[in-house]
Amino acid sequence: MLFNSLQFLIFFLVVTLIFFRLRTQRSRIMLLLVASCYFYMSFVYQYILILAFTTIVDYIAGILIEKSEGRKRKAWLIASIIANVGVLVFYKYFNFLVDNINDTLHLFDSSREIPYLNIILPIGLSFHTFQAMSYTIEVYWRKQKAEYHFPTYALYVMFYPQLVAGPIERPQNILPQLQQYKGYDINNIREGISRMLWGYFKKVVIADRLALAVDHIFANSEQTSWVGLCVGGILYSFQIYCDFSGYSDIGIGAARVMNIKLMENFKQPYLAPNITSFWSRWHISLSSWFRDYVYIPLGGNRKGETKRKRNIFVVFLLSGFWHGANWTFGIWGFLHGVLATFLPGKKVAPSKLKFGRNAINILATFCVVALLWIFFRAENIGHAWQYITGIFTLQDGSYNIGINITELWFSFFVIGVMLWREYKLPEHKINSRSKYIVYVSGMIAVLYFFGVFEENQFIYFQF
Amino acid sequence: MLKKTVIYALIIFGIGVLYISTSRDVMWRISQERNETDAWWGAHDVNHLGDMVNLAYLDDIKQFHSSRDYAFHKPEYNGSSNVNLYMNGDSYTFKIPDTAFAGVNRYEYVWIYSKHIKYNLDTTKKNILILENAERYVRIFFGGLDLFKIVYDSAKGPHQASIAKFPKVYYASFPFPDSIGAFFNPNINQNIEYNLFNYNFLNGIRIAKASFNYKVFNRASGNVQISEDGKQLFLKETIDSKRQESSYSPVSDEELTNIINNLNTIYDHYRAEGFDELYLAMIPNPVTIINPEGYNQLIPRLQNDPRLKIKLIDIYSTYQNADTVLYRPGDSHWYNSGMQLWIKEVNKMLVKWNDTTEVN
Repeated sequence: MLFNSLQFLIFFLVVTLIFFRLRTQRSRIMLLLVASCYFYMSFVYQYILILAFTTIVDYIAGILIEKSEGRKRKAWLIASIIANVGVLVFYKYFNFLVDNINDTLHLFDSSREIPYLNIILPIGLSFHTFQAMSYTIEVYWRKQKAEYHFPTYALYVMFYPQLVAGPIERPQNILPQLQQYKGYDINNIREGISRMLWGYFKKVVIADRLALAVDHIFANSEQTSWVGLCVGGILYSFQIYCDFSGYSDIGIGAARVMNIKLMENFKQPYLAPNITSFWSRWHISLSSWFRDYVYIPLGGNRKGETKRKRNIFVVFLLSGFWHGANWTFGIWGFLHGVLATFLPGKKVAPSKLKFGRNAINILATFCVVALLWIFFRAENIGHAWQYITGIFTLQDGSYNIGINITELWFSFFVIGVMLWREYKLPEHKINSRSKYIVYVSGMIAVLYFFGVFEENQFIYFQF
Repeated sequence: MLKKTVIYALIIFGIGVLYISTSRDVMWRISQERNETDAWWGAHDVNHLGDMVNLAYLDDIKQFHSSRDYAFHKPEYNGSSNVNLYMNGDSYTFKIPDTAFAGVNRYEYVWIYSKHIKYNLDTTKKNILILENAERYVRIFFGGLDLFKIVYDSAKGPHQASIAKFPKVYYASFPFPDSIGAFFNPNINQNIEYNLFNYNFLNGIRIAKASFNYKVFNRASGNVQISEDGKQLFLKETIDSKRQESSYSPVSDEELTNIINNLNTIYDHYRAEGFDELYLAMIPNPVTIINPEGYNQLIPRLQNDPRLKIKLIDIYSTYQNADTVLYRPGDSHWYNSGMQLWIKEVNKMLVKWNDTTEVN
C-alpha cells in the first residue's frame, strides 16, 4: 500500500477515525497494530511472517537482556543481532555474495557456480530491522526498559507511518508515546494533514515528474549529450530528495494527526555548505543510527585521528551497502567517506545558515553530492563510469531528455518553490482556519492537476 | 451528535469502499451494471471509449464505439460437430460466444491467468485446446513464473517431474492459505478509483487535465504513448524497448529456446491429459502491425521454429497482408474486422478437425 495510493487515503481515514473513537490506550494500540499488519501485508502478505519472526525474537531478547547480567546479557544481545542481521543478509545480500563468489571462481577459470536463490526482498526490511536492533541495543545499554506488553512492542516495530521507509525510530521516542496517549488535538491534526499534503506535493508533483526525465536519461546515457547528462544528474538529486523526504513528510504527518511525534528525517540538505552538514541534514534517522550504534562504539573520535578516519570509513561503507547489495552503493558510500574524512567542514544548523555568505559552498557541496548520486542511480559501476565520463568528456549526443522544454522549466520552477518554502517556512502550522481551508483545497487542486500519477513506488522502498 | 454521525458514516463508507474494491465478485457485478448505463452513476465511457482512451483521456483521440460493434455471425458450416473447443484466453477472446465457432459441440472458455484450471474432457469428441495470448505477454507468460502456476495446478503424476525446472519465488512457499490472498487484491487501487471517481459526469475534469498535459507538456498521461501522427494510442509497454512486453525489445536465442521448451512442456502435458491437439494463438501488438520497423520478430521467429511442437493459429501473416484497419485507435484491442479474421482462421482449423480424422 503506497502512500500515494487511493487505498492508503481510505485506509488512513478509516483507521484515524476509529482511533479517535476508541476509549482505552490498549484498544488504540491493538487497532494500530492490526492496521499496520494489513498495511504491510498489502505489499506481499506472506512476508508478515518474517516481520513477525524478528519482532518476536527481539521482544523476547529485550526481556531476557533486562533480566540477565554479565555474559548472559551480552549473549542475548548477540543472539538478537544475529537473528536480525541474519534475515537481512539472507534476503538482501545472499545473491550479491553468490554473484561475487561466482565472479571470483570465473577468474580462476572454474566452471563451478553456486546457484542463486530466487527471492524477493521484503519491503522496508532494512528499516524495520535497524529499528528493532535499536531497541535491544538500548535495553542492553540500560537506556531503555524492556517492553513487556507485546502489542506495544510489536507496534513500535510495525507502526505503519514509518514501517517501510522510516524514519528509523528510537524506543525512547516512540514507546512512551504509544504507552501514553496525549489526546485529541485539532492543531496536530491540521499540522499533520498539511505536512502530508506537502509530502504528496514533493512526491507526485516534483519527484514523479522528474522521474520521467531521469529514467529516460539514465536509460539512454550513451546517446545523450553531456548537457543532458548534467541535467539528469541534477534532476535525480531533486527526485531522490523529494521522493524520500516526501515519504517522510507523509509518514510524519500521518503520525502527527494521531498526536504521535516522529523524529525529523531531513533538514534542507541541499542548503548544506559542506559534506558534514549535508550528512547532519540527510536521512538523519539513519545517520544518527550509524553514529550511535557503530561510530561511537568503535571509538568515535576518542582514539586518535587514524582511528577516527577508519571509523568514518566504516560507517560510510556500511551506510552505502545498507542501501543495497550492489557495488555502486558501496562506491557511493566510500566516496562520501573520503569526502567526510578529508573535506569535512563544520556542521552548520539550518537556522544559523547565512545563505548569501555560503552560496558558493552550498553550490559546490550540491554539485559534489549530485555527482555522487550518479553511482546511486546507475545500474552498475560501468554505467556510472560511462555516465560520469560522458559529462567530463563533453559527450556529443541527443538533447532528448524525455520531457519537453516547457516541462523542464516547469520542473525547475516547482523545485524552486519547494526549496524556497522549506527555507522560509519550515513549519507546517497554519493557525487561521480560513487560511487552512484555502491551503488544503488549493493543494488538493494542485496535486490533481499537476501531479504525475504513474504508479511510481518510492525509491527508498527497495532498501 | 451530528459530528458523531458524520464520523461513523465516514468509517462505514471507508470500510465499504475498501471491501467492495477488494472483492472480485462484487466488482464484477458492479462493473456489469455501471459499464452499460448512461445514468449519472454509470461508467459507460469506460466500456465504450477504449481502454487506452481511459488511460489517457485525450479528447482528440476519443472515438466512441459500442460493445455491439463486435458482430458475431454464425459460421457457414453445416457439417458435424465433433469438436469440443477449450479456449485458454485473455481479453481478446473472452467476449466471443460459442456460436461464432464452426462445428463445436461444446465450448469452454478459461481466463488464461486463472490460478486453477480444470478441464473436463469428453473422450467421445475431439478435444482441442487453444492457448490465446496477446503478444505483449507471451515472453512473460511462457518464459517465466506464470507458467509454473499453470502446469503446477493441473499437473498430475508423471508430469510432476517437469515442474521442478520452473523458477519458484520463495515467498510463495510460505504456508498461507489462498483465502488470505483474497484480502489483498492487487487491483484495489484501480477498483477504488473506479468506484469513487469513474463516473460519466466526472470525465470532463479528467479530460481537462489530460488536454493540459498533452498541449503544454506534449505527453499523454498514464501508460500510453501517442503515435507520431497523433492518431493512434499505443500502450507504452509495447513500445519501450527495455520492457519484455515491447515489440522492439530484442529477443535472444536463449530466451526463444526457453519459451519454446516451456511451450513444448505445456504441449506434452496437455496431450498426456487427453487433448487431441493444442494450438497457440498470439495476437500481435497493434504496434507490431502498424509500425513494423524495428520489430523484434518474436511471433515469426516462434512460429517458424521447427522445435516448436504446439500447432499455430497464424494471425500474424494474415494481419500483415490485410488491407483493413485491424485495431482501434484508442484501445489496445482489435476492431471487429481484426477479430473476424482471427475467428476465420480458428474456424478453418475446426472444420478440418470435423471433416478429417488427421490434421497436420
